[in-house]
Amino acid sequence: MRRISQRDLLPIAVKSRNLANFNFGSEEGSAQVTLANTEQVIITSSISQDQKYEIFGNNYIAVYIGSIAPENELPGGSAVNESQWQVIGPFFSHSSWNSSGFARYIEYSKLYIRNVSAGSQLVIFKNKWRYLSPRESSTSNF
Amino acid sequence: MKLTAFLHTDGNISVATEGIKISRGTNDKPEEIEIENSIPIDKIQIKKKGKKLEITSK
Repeated sequence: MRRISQRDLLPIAVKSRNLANFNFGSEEGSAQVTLANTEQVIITSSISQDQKYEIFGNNYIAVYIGSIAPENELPGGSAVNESQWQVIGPFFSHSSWNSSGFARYIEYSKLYIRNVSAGSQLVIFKNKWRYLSPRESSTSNF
Repeated sequence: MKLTAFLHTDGNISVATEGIKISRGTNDKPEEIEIENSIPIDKIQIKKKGKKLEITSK
């Protein structure tokens, strides 16, 4: 086969092969809990697809203390003292995945938050899945 | 917006949109109640009155 020289016209009829047709965003999820000192919460979020379709997801998460505002974001908000909180995760849950029999049509993530010494606080959790799947129309059933 | 209210074993109430579960620890066996609500979740206030949940906006 002849190689394309620098003087040749480049082929323009090549279809772009990208992920745009498979890459979707879920609706925004949220949760709120009140935590007093030493109280804890485990937040599990999931995204699932009809069982015959695979799904691969990434969970974008934000946690706010008191109300939704940039200064209240944990971590990093200027009004938040991170030493008053313990956060473990978020993890994509390996155990949940296995107990479902290697389910390829569902993703789980888990986040643990413990109020060490911030006093009674409202904790607001927001998330949005970005996911790859052969079709849109994800569900959020466990 | 479909929400789920979680009535936790320790008496606390939390709330989450579809696809999110809340647990307050290994001993927690929350009772889950689905509710339809149009109030943004950060403005919602849920109280238990007897056996009924009262949902109000802050």
